[in-house]
Amino acid sequence: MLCELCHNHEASGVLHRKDANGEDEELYVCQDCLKANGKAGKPPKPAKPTIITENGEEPPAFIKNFLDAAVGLIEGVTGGEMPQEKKCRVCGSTWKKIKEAHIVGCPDCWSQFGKEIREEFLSGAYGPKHLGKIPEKAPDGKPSRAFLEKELKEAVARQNYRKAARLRRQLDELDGNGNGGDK
Amino acid sequence: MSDFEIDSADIFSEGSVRLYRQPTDRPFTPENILNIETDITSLARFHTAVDATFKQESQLSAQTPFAWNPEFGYVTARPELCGTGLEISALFHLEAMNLIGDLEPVLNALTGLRMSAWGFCNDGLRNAAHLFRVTNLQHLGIDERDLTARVGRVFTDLVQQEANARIRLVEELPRLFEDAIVRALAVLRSCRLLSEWELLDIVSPLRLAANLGFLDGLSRNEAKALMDKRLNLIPSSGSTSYEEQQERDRQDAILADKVNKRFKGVRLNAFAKEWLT
Repeated sequence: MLCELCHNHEASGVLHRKDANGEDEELYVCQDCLKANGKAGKPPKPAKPTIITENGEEPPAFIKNFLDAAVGLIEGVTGGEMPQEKKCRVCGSTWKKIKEAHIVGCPDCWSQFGKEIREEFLSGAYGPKHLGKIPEKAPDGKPSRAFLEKELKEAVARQNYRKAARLRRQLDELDGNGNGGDK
Repeated sequence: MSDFEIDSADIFSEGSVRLYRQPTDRPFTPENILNIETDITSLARFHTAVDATFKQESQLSAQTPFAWNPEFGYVTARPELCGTGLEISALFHLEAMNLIGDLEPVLNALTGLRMSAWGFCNDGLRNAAHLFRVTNLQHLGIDERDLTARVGRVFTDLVQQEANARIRLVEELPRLFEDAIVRALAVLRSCRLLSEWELLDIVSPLRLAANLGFLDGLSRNEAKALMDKRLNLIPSSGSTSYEEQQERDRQDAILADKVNKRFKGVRLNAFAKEWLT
């Protein structure tokens, strides 16, 4: 669909504004026109529905108050509009895409959509948390934090304090406190 | 009466240890999932195969780091493959358990142990030849040592249970066993059409009989080879055209003729008669 203002580019956004008569109008516009006309505002809230009984009379005050509160609660939860779909910071995959393709986009998707992946794909025969092997090195070639922490825990349990101190120093270096001193 | 021998190598026929890893230096796609695999040639070599796989993994991880997540362990582009990424599977021939009626409860128990047992299905409904590929389902929430120990125990127990079922079948239900053998021999000697799937199914009790030394004219290895050759059969698709059906019948007739000839001389021997009658 072409932009309803310039008629040159493909429409990619919605512009809400007042027309010449002061009425609300909704236009499908391109990014340039959207910028030129100010950021798209929120669509105007629809007027609250009027509650009337079958006889055309207003309901008793306590029922009206209750219904108003319920409408307010729903609007509060949804913010009056549909929430935007979450995207992976690294690869841009959405949960819908992962679910449909049955393919996880990148290692970071596992952190961001962990809950959804667990509910959709890992029910039944899967335990709550990884208990197995931890890689010694992180993808950047530095020692893996998880591995060092596990080793540190084991060294302390075995009362091997010399090794524990060395591991503590390595962890400090990873944190950027790399002066080698005990903290 | 001389004793018969149970060959556990006939029950546990082949297995593999697989480690799934996603290298971080390549695009994060299912095609780039690394499958580090070692064959388990016998149950006695089970732990050696597991160690060899992890050794190989360590060598590879020194060259290229693998994707890892603190909560999900070794992660890949396939959402089911996470955690330890360790998959151990083996093929079991459980004919005696089927004949004495113990198979169903054992298969159900495997599910409780977070293991799967896949049979070979032609029609998607019934398992052919009572061959099952048993695999661990759990990858997350268990460490490699516990997982290996659990799978090793399950495999050993399965072999033991099938061996016990074989003894029970011969000692307590000889007529049932003899019936299964002679029926299979009768079909193989006289059939006019025989599909590969039917052959796989019918040879199953004969493989067990040959393994116990009850048959003349068919060796243990030959009976096993007859089934192994058909392990990669593809289930038939539903409807077929008239021409395809004709071609299938022609192939079934050729196989039936071959099998009639081959099994003409196969019969229960004197040793079998000592035990079964």
